[in-house]
Amino acid sequence: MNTLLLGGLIAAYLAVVAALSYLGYRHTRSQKDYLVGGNEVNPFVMAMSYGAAFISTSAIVGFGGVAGLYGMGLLWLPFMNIAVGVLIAFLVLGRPTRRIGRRLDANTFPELIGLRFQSRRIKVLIAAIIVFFMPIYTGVVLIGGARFVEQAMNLDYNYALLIFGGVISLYVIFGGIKGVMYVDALLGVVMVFGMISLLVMTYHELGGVVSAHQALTDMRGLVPASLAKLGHAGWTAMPRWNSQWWWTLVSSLMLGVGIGALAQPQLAVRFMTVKSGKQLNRAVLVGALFILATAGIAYVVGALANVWFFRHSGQIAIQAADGNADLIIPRFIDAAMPKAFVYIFMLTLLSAAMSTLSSLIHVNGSSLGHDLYRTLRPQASDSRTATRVGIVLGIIASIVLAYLLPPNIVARGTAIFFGVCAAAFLPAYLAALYWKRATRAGVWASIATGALVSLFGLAFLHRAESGALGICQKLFGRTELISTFPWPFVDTICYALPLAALALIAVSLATRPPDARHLEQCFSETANRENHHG
Amino acid sequence: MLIGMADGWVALAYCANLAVTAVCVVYGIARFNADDENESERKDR
Repeated sequence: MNTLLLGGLIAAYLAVVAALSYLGYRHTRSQKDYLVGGNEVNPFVMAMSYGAAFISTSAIVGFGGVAGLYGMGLLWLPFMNIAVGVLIAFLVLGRPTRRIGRRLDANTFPELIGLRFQSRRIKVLIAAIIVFFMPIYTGVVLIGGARFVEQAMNLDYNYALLIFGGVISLYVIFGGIKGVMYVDALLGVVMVFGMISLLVMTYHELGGVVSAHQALTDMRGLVPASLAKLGHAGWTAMPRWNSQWWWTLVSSLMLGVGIGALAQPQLAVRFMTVKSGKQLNRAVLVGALFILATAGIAYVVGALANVWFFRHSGQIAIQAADGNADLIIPRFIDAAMPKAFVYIFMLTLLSAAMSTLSSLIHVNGSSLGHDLYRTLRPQASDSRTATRVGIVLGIIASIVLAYLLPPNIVARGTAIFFGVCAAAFLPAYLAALYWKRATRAGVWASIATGALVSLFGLAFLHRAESGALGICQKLFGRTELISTFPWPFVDTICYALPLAALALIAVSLATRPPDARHLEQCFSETANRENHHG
Repeated sequence: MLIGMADGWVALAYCANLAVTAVCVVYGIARFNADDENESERKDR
């Protein structure tokens, strides 16, 4: 690889990023501009930014590699991402989030829930959960991005980490959410272009759509015995019913990641950046195409890499990647694609890492600066400076965590963050938008139940995380408390989310209904009109 | 065997991705100018 050429490309790319960030900086005049883009962000920018924040490098390389290992059954995940993460999220959650957020003048996700239930403590609790858990997820993305810079530029990993973290912090600090979203839109376009090129070239290499699938189907007999034992039934077949891999695919990937995305604060806040429902309708179109073109393509290509490797080296993809699924996509691109495309794909991966990371550190910073600091020090009128300090602290925490935590825990960071967010926030978020009878105490109970049950499941029940954390091993001498199949493979969302929802309903019905005047302000158009004009 | 896939569920997943994207595209185009903003919100803005 020509390091000088790639270096020049990245430098030119960063110059455009700097220019867009400057544009965001110039258009940011108030706290509302800095946190929610002044509620007037273009729908194309909003949708591309939503998608680019959603799809990180690990979705393309990591999950693409998983598809290379287990096959196209993983295609149910992008289906969930589009059906739930875009269609339902934008129309069922996005519309009321935007409306209620504007009526209550909310600028962040914790503030929206806190104002809706008239509780500063709920706002502080949600912000604290974000500030505590998000650096673990941010750490995963940061390490992925730094590893990319290390390999592409032949830089020392420590320098790569500092440079990568520093560049992103700078454009988030100065550009605010407008800078983040403008840059995300550019990064999203690069990602879509790179991934569509990859799909077309892969199908072309393998003789067309049906021929490629058929060739993969014909490789069924090559599934290694170790994978067949986990439930692998071929790369174009679903895993065996009730096998270990079936539970991982259905409970962790389809439900955990598919439904977990609904309660991601960095995604929910984007609904508050547009000025009306019209923008959300338009964003549905762009968002769905984006997810299909990125995640959908990565999983198809990851699985089809098996055919290419088998034809050229007699090996299946995981063998060609020396047993490391994360290397399947990079090795395939390096070996099968024209050299010029390797550079395009490098920029695609850099874009995926940068866009997710910038969104995470913006939300982390706003939770720390706007939601926590400003609530505890209410005399501060504008939270921009506090948010900027929060962004710096958040990125430092992520780098420190990336160094301190063992690699296997960091690798589970995405699952930990998604699991905790979904169980702790989703019932409260849905109730805030749709259930008028939900009470402050009910929301407290729901968030606490969701977070605690999730953490218990991660530490003591779900093997992937409990094994990595090691707490159960230290206390009880085994990796999980219940070893009976399928429990070690059932994702925490399967029990933490229903329990959190039950806690919300039971406690809400047992406590006094919320103030009717406040509900009028949140939901009634007439009251809203009177409130604004009166 | 649909589109070369061994399992109908995987073929369905492949087609479902295309179908749900098509639904989103058609929805986005059909409701391109439809708005949920009420009069008071418009005035406030």
